[in-house]
Amino acid sequence: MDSKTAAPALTAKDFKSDLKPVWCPGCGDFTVLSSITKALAELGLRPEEVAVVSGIGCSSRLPAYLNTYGFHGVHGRALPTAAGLKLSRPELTVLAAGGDGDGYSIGGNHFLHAARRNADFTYVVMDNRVYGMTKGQPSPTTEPDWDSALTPGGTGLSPFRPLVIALASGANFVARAFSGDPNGTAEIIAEAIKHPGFSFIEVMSPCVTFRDEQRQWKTQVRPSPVPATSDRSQAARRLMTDDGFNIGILFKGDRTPYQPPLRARMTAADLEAEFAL
Amino acid sequence: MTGGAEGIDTVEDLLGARQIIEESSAEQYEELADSFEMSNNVETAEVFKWLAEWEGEHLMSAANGAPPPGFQWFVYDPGDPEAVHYLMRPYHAWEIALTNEERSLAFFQAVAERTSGDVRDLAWQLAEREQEHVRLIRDRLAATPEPEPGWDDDLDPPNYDM
Amino acid sequence: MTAGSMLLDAAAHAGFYGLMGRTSGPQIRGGEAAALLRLSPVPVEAPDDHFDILLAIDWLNVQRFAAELPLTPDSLIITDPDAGEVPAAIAAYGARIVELPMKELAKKIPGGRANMIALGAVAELVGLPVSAFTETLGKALKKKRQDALEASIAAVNAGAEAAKALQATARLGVPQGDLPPRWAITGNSAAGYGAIRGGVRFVAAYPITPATEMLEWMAPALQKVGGALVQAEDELASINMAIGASFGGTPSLTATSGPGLALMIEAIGLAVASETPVVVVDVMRGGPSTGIPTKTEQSDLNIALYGLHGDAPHLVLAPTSVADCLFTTQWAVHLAEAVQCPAIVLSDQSMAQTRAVIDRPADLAFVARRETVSALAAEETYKRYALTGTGVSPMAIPGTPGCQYTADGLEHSETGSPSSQASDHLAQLDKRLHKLTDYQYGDHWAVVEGEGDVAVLTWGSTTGAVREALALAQADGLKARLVAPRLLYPAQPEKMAEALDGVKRILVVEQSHLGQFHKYLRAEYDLPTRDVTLFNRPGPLPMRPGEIRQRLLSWR
Repeated sequence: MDSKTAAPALTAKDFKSDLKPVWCPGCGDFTVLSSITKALAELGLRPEEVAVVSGIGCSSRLPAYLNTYGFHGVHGRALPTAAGLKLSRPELTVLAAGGDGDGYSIGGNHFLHAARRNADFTYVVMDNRVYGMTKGQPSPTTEPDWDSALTPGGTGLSPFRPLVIALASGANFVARAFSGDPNGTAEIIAEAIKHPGFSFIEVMSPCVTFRDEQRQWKTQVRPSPVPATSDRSQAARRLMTDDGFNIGILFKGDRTPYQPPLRARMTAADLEAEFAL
Repeated sequence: MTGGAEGIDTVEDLLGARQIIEESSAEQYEELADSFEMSNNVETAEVFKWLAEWEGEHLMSAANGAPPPGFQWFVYDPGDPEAVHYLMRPYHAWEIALTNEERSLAFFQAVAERTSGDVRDLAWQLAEREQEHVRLIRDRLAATPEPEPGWDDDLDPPNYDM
Repeated sequence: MTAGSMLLDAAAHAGFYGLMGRTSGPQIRGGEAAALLRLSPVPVEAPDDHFDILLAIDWLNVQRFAAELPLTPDSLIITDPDAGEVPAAIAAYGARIVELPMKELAKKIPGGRANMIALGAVAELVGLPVSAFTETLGKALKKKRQDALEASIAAVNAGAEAAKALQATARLGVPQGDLPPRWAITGNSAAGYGAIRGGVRFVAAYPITPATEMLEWMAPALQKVGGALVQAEDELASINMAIGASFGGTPSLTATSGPGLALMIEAIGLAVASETPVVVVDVMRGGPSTGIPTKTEQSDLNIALYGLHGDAPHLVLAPTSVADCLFTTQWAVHLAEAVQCPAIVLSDQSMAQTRAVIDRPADLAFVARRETVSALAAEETYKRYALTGTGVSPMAIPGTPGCQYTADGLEHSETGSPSSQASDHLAQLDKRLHKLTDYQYGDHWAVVEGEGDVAVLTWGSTTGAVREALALAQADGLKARLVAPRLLYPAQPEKMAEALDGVKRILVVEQSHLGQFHKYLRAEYDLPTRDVTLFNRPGPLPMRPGEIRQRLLSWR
């Protein structure tokens, strides 16, 4: 596109749709939505060049609130759907978005393999440590003693550690953000989109309805005291002492993204030769 | 959670900051209006709707400036799960708005105090206008009945036994 | 297996037709295996009633598939004296037994192998010239040294020489003159090639017997034509990747078998609701559960037709032969893209893993042609799920400016916004049904052949056996029709009524213990007669032409 026909720069608002979110007033996901739109605008992308894929859950409703292409699929399968789209249409900017239950529980296997496969797209998990849409059951990241109707007295299980798993599985970009800091979150999302390969952002996004104790988060989070490293083992060591409240980019790797070449060398009719007697 | 007066040194900085304050306020009021409407809290949604339109009117008259990098503005603390409640009453909505206007007033005053010349003059001008806004919202708040105690009793909690 | 393939290839080069199925144990390497060949001067589509020659290099574990090796007293059993007694289950057929010291003969040739001796012996017995093997062996051994080729040719010659002393039973006869161009192809490759010819350029899949070879054929083929095959972490990922790629505008496919299809079902429903075309090839095997992975059955019909939750109309197709795997899969791609809906293609182990010599299939016009939208008028709002006359709504492919939408598995309005309203639900259910039922499928909906007031209804790989049975019965003076639906869903009641007009008696032939096809026919069609007989059997034993013919003749 030359300068004469270049479309005017878009603002974050241009990336929002007219649809009203079903989220509770004050939900952390509102600011994550804003952060995503801000990041897309800052990167100078056009809405039609972007596709956001999700599974099922409160936060997985997000694609419909964007003015980009979107796919609201089945529970837990955002990552393979996003991978299929990106691998077949590498020129698109692809994001996957969803919650902790969708991504770490029912979709847990895809999380490992998306990190391992390292296709070039960004995964934003809005982690509120609870199933909101089904009204308050523990997720993999819920504290072991959190009481619920389904798990009286708590699950007694150690929480899933998303950053550790992402890093160990091969993710090429690993970060933690906090929905209470939308600008900081937008910056991290923009960095993640720009970084080649599978980028993973765990966004702490409080649930105002089922987890009001998460009001403490805003006093607990702090900017990570150290800058991002490109050394995976150093990042792993940092996670050993991480208390879950360091905000920022932990790791930026240099793995080559997985992308089949999609270059035709012959026609379908040419393949016939191998069967002919 | 709000932009500080520190980085504001030029008229462009100040106009840019003002633009962000007004745009962000309008957007966030609208987002709140939508979410209260979605929660069927019609009265509170209406207050936020009014606020969003009111801020929107200012917006149209806003001249374009260059926002200082990193400057951001929130009408409520997005990191505080208790900043809004789905059962909150119009009174609370006016309280949020009043706090927001008072904070903008304080911002422009702070800018005026640490600058001089054109920037200082403009900052005072904007502060005076905010003073009017504060007065207006305070009147609205005074005209709104205070919520009964127990306004947040949830008769329709997210989990209920059938 | 290798020797069996070489025999088929050599026969093909000599101008014959044939097919080779296989049966094998569960071992990863070195398990018991049998190559099941049928050779003929004319095209053949089904295993014969029995084998003329059973050549055993050894008898280890043969009881596991003795039932799949029917013989008659006229058959010939060739056994190696080193292999011990002919097992009772085999000897019970009363066939003539001769000994051929294959292992010993092989030892006399440096680098000689018993299976090459066997190959030469069978060639001699059926009347194939040894020269027919030179090219086949050269191809098969091209990566090995010249002396390996010479050793193999010497062994084939030695086997042929030794077999001259045996009295031959079945001679192949003379090949037809003026042969049309022919192919040697498996059902799995044919389905893969049909998919690519139909326009599929993205495949995501997880290895599973007996679909893996289809994927292994497609992986390099897709690379050549500018597509890609991604090995996914599981079947859930496979189908969702294919759906994601199709959402991006690329015709996409996954292939699996019963257990994998069961895992994919939820996402196939997503493809129905979000109106995303995708083709799922299910190479059926014995079920339920892990069942019999290496052997055939037609028992996934129910799950393919009715396994989805909710009212979820979708396409279900089934090829009727190895060659038809190409046609039906290519057609399935075309249909899925045309009506923006998932298509399940039911192949099965017997045709998928059978290598057949066939006449070159005709070139087909069926390619993926999805109705898309390229631009909108300025004030127009794009409605992804617009209610149109045909039920098919033009799809915006990501990248198209001004048409951004969110595809959704939630029920939705015409624009795609989630909706739980009764009116939207009804309108979209109607739309998704009518786009399927109103589509004009033409004559390809079924194989309809023959005449008479008797009809045999079957589907899938048993079609070949039925066709042959009807030819046999006609020689006995019985005229009957063959109707084998290639399009199982949506059902075609008017076309079926026409095909069965005047029929007084129906035989249903299928390879399912529950008679799933029979139940399907009773549910979806008004059959013209109540005189319907079911001839069914679970896998892995094939339905053979002779027994079908017997059923028909016993009616007179």
